[in-house]
Amino acid sequence: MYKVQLNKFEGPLDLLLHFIRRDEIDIYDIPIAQITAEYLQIIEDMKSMNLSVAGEFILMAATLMRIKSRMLIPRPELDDEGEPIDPRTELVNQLLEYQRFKEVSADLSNQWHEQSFRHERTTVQEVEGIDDAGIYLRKVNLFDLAQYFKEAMDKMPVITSYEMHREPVSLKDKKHFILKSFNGDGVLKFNHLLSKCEDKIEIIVTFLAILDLMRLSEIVVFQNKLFDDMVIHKLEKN
Amino acid sequence: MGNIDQIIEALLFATPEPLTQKKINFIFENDSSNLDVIIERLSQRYAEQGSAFEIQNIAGGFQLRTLPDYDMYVRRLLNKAGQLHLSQAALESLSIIAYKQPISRSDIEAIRGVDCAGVLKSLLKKSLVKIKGRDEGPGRPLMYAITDDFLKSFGLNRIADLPKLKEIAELLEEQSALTEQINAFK
Repeated sequence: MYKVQLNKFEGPLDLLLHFIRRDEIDIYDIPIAQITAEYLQIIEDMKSMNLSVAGEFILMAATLMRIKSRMLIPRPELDDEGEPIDPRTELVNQLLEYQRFKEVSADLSNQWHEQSFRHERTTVQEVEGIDDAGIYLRKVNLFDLAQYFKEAMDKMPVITSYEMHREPVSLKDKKHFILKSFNGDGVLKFNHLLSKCEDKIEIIVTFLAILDLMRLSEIVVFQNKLFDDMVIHKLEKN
Repeated sequence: MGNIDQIIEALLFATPEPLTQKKINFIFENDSSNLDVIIERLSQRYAEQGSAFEIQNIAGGFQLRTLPDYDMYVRRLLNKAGQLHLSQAALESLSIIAYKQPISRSDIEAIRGVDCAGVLKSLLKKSLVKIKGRDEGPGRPLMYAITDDFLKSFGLNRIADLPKLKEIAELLEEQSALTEQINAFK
């Protein structure tokens, strides 16, 4: 079996190009079945080496299998001009484009290398007129500002302790209060309960208490129409 | 103005940034000279004298640089470490940005077929690329472009000086193949 050193590939496209070069495949006539099998084998190898397979490799595997299945369809799809569409075209174009930039990046690498032998004068700019803010601002761009902002935010003291206030009303107390608030007929208006609340949290606890009492089948709640006041009836215990 | 060459030479020596015609116009006010012509003369003189410098046409201006022969010594003087190495991922992303700028991250990723978040971050940090704004399209993605530092680091004057993409060469090749075919039919 062919062993491939995985880390030298920049991604699935690079890996496919490697197959194409190695097997001297015509890029315009890729044997999809063969390439797919090889590709899947690589992914299996990655898994067996306990490498986490990057999502883009999986995506390419899916793409290859889709192309393969489309090629099995006996009647080829036709384009606008009635010509059969080769399911591989899209992938081929992608490979060609990637290959172009890969070649250019080799040229760029040489240029980078050669330029690094030529040194410019290292000038330390002395800033005299401090009022000339232009000198300071000249080389700062939006990205720099965003970067400084992030650094400043990262340096902010991290608050690890919080002061918590104990809630003045407990659910248990509120349930008890509701049960005691019923009149002789065992009826209670929701608005009446609200009028006894002092703040938002108490209203919330009141509401929770009602829900919990309903769950416990201690009360039932009626409402005649939308937005009407709710009437709470106490259920007699059997 | 017999000493204009010397004045320009002094400016080249002193400038922290590539010297442009615009700056020359500013310095000489109305009576400015054509920088290209003077640079030509200076370059010729340096070559004849066997100078340690050359003048590079870089990032839209001119800059004095030491010749590659003296790299080792300059490096020692400045205590510069070995060459900064650009990864394959960085080079690929840079070339895509250089040819297609302004370009969004997702378009770079579409060409490379891999995630580019990390490499873009490091290119931004090296100030080889910059964020040029946002696209008007859906999601208003950030658009990346190359910087003057990129041009300087690669010894380029303008983007147009980049090596040509293979595309053009291939097209010409195909055309000649086509002509051959046509001729065969005749």
